[in-house]
Amino acid sequence: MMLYSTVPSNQQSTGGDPDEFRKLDLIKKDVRQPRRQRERRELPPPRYKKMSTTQDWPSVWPVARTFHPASVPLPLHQGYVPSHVPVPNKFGNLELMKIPNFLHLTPPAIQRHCEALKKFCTPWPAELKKEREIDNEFPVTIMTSDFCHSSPSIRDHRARIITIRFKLATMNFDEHARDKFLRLVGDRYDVESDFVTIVTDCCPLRQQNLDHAMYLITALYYESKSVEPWENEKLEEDMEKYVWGKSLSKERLNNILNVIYENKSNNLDYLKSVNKEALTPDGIVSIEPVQNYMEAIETIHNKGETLDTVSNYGNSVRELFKLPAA
Amino acid sequence: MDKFRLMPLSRMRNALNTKARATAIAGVRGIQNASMDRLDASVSSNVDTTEEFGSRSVTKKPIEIPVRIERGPTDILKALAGTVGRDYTAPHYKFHDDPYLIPTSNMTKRMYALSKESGRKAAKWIRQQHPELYYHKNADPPAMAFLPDPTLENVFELTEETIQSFINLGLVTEAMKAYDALKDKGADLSPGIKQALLETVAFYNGEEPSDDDLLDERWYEQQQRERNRNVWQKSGFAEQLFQDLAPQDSRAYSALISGLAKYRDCDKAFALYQEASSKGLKLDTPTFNALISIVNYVRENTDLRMQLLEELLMNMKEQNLQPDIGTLNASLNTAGFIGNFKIGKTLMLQVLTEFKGAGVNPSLGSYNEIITTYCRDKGPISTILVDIMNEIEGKEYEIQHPSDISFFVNAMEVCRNHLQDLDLAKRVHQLLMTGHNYDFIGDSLKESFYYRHFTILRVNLEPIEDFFNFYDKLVPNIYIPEPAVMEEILKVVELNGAINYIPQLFSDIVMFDFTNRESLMTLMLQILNGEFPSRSTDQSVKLGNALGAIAWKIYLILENQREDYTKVIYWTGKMLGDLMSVLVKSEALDQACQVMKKLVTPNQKVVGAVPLDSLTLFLQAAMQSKNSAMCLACLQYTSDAGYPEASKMAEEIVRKVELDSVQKGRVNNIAGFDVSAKLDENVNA
Repeated sequence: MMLYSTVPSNQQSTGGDPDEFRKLDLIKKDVRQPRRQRERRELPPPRYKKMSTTQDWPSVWPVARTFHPASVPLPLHQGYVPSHVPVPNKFGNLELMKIPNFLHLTPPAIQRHCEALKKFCTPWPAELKKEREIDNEFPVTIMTSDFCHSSPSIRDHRARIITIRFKLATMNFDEHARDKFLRLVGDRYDVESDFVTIVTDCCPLRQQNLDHAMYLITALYYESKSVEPWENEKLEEDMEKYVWGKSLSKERLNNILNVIYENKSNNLDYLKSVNKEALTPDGIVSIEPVQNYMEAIETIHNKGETLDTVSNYGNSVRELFKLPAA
Repeated sequence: MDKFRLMPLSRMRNALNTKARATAIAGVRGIQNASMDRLDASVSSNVDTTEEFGSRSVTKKPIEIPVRIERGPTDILKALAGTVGRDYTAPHYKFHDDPYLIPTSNMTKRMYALSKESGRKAAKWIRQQHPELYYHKNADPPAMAFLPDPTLENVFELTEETIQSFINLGLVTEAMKAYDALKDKGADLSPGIKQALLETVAFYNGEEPSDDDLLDERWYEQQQRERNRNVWQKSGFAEQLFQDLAPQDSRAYSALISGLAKYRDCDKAFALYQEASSKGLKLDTPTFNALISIVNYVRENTDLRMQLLEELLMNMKEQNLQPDIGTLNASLNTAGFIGNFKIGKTLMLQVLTEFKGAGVNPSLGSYNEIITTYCRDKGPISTILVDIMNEIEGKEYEIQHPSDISFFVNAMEVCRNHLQDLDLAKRVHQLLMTGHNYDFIGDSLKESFYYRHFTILRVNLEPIEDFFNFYDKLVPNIYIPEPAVMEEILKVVELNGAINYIPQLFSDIVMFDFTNRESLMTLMLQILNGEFPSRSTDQSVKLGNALGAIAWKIYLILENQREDYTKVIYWTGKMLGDLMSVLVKSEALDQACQVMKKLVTPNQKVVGAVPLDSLTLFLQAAMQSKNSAMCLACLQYTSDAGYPEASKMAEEIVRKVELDSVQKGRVNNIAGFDVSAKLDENVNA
């Protein structure tokens, strides 16, 4: 090993003999300067390592943002891999960045938001505790939609649409008005739920559409109530359902019953207790077997033929004319 | 977001406008109908109700719907933002939350923030230069902030409204140009627009105001503006406009005088004030405030200044002007610099009581004036800050005056330099953290001054554990200690022997780019050596190894300095000695040998010699490991450095280490005598 003394020296160790003359280098070789290595800055450790276990998480992650491994102190793994290979951890994991996370909506955060928003809320009226009371007091529901999206414009043409819904029962219609109303609203009425739904979207503004909807309800209401002269011309064929009381069948049954009543061989017990005056087309309706017959035949016409309705009908006819059981 | 709205029955009735409305109010009839079965309802025989829409309900008492609580468009957002606290592990939100992009030194903080803003500025410039490129305007409603500023060239029709719109947008130069163009056209301008333009031009001194959007630029702005120099544009646009306004009314005088005072053309301001007074014109409060703030510049001695101040205030009273916070702060400022501190102090208190009587409550700026006057560096100690804190503790303030933002930094400085009171400093800090009071921190410079004072005060007066709790919270995202503060911290660590904080502090020093500070590196090595833990427990061995690694890291950093750096740290003998000792103590002999090799290599730039105790320590370790070459190197260096102990060392080496003949010859050579022979003599004797 060679050892030298540490005599301080001002000589620069730039290479070449300092006693030698400098050479004149006419044809310079193209010596590429080696690319200077960029100095890499020291990186701080991921900041989750500095987080305490008692920290306030909603302050760390206050709003929705893409997952970042250095800021989330959870040992997460995600992604599909072939078997016998561990699932990739959170660092550099695209799968974790792709999926929306709900780290900003932890239960304590939501609770805190609710507390903060309470001051903008009014108490629910004490009188409106039951669903039925609410339906009675507020029969009409108005539905609108507001749209919020990140684009240069805050307008959305769908916001103008008004949907109004109410139960038909709240209109308190009689038979005629109800029938007329249903004919006017068409498929806007839902039999199952008894709801009438009116959607208005022909005007450009929401308020205009609301006014229009209100106008429509008003017009429908009064139109249904009014009785036009021509409505009395409604014939049996115009009926929306079979009504025995208005059919020819009633007339005929009356005739038959009258013939049987006159006949000495009247074997119908219920006819014996009936006055002659009662045997009119309108009078016979109050006789019990006739009533049963009426219900049976109306059912079979309006609800269709089933085993039940047909056998009911048969029974009512047998009872009516005292025929032997099948 | 779907909105469901239930419509009350009464409104429904209104909408239907039934004839029976008056009688159909729910609850008046009450018992109309008990049938709640909806399907039956239509056939129910209640004839009365068929006429009245919806009166089936049986309500005992009218329902009171609460009135909607009014709220502004951003109130909900503010309420939600109020639930979020400060996250001390995160950088400021203007930076990217990513280890590669989080700034870790004051320089990078400044650089990143300003670079980002610079991009924004460049975009703005392009937008302004080439408005034709941005024809795609689909914003509805149009966002004016995203559109290029209008210029005089592309104004469709030049009228008075053009000037007004330029003024509203804060485009001072364009407004001035528009005015000149209109005047050239010979248009007859109304005095109203002239007055508006005069106010704007006088306020900005005819210069374009800085952009409000560039927050970071203002945050990092060094206060280079020379405040008290006359920068008023003499016979500039404002003064010409003032002439154009003839006959000038009191508003014109007020505008010009305010501008003159703001830009410190004090003599002219007072001349105009005299002129206005002689004409019997009534000026407004802001004008008087501006005049009060320049009293000290127009009068030479204390008495005259006091006289003028009093005169101005009396004039205000005569004109029935209500003083405001500006009047108070200007008066306090004038009183503080009136020339005689004793008179100034009493005058300040008088002013304060007087204004309290007039219903003007002091703002933070007023207290700032008081503490800067009362607690001067060379003045007597004053505890007025304690009284002020008693008064304002726990209150949340709104910004009222520009000087408000100086309060906290000055209060903290008083706590540190004037009073050296840690409890008071903590109270001041508590006030800063109350509500929105952090807005009063000012700019980056004020913030770092504030925390510098607070940190130094705490590190000197607090138990070191408490201090490091505070340090962990604050550093590096809110405050990065300057090198001088870091040195202070290191000194306290050394004083307390709290060597366990050293690894953390060293990693911070590396992060903050302080490795080019010679004082810090020297101090660090000194602490490492001086406070090195004994290798008794596992924990201390671990810590010792970590400290050894730090020492080695320092060695590498200093060895790999770039030659072309302006600030190059040269090794000193003491540093290398400390370094070698630490390496030996942490049982990293190989690395210590490397240092020794460096020492004996010729042409080293090392200032001074390595202390003898480090050399002895090294020699002991080298002898223990039977490294004869290193023993000889150490001996060589000791001898070259001129330590007389070299001969003793030589004897020890010969005695304890097996040497071959060449090495023995070298030892004799260095020692200058035959060492083994001398040893034999000693044994024989």
